[in-house]
Amino acid sequence: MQLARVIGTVVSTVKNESLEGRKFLIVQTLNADLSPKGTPMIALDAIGAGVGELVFWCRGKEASFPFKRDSTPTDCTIVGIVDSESHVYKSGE
Amino acid sequence: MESGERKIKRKTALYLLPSTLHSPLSTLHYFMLLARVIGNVVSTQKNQRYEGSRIMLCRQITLEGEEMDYTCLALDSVSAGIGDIVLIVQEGWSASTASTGKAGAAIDSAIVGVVDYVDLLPEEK
Repeated sequence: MQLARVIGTVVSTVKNESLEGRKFLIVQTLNADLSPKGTPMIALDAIGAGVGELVFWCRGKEASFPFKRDSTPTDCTIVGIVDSESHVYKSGE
Repeated sequence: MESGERKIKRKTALYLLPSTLHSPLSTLHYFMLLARVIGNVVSTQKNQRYEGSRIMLCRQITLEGEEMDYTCLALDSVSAGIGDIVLIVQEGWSASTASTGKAGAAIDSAIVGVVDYVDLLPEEK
């Protein structure tokens, strides 16, 4: 799991059946000090996140577990929204 | 000759890509990690299976204790505190079993132990 900022959305009409009704978001992974790290990537939304929010994502096979019954093809899913930037507590702050 | 060089270059690029981008497909961090807990994150709206455990912000360290670049979030199953050196497992089955007691949760990393000390052979000179 890693922290990320939602920076946009991807719209797709023709897609796998089990992806219907799901939202693709573009996320930028962040360091502990909330500075961007690496290139943005696309994640499936499982929690109702929106653009601009601070979230965390889960990778790999486990990413499809929130949508368990449909066996959704995804390898990166947003599983939680961080309440606010001040809710990222770091030692020494 | 030229095409041969090109082939090698492309291969190298493919090989280097995941690790340098920290993509979720990277196998670079797919092992147990030694890390230091540097903080935690509060989230109200989250996957149901995350409820009841804390989400800790961890930074990977070397065996000598120096901090590395890689930071990640991990679910806490052993009540680790900030500043502790911990062992993180980054594999889905183990992580969900360790932190929720049952497999099949959308959890890809969990703290499974607090490290008392690391015993290393002294470097040969």
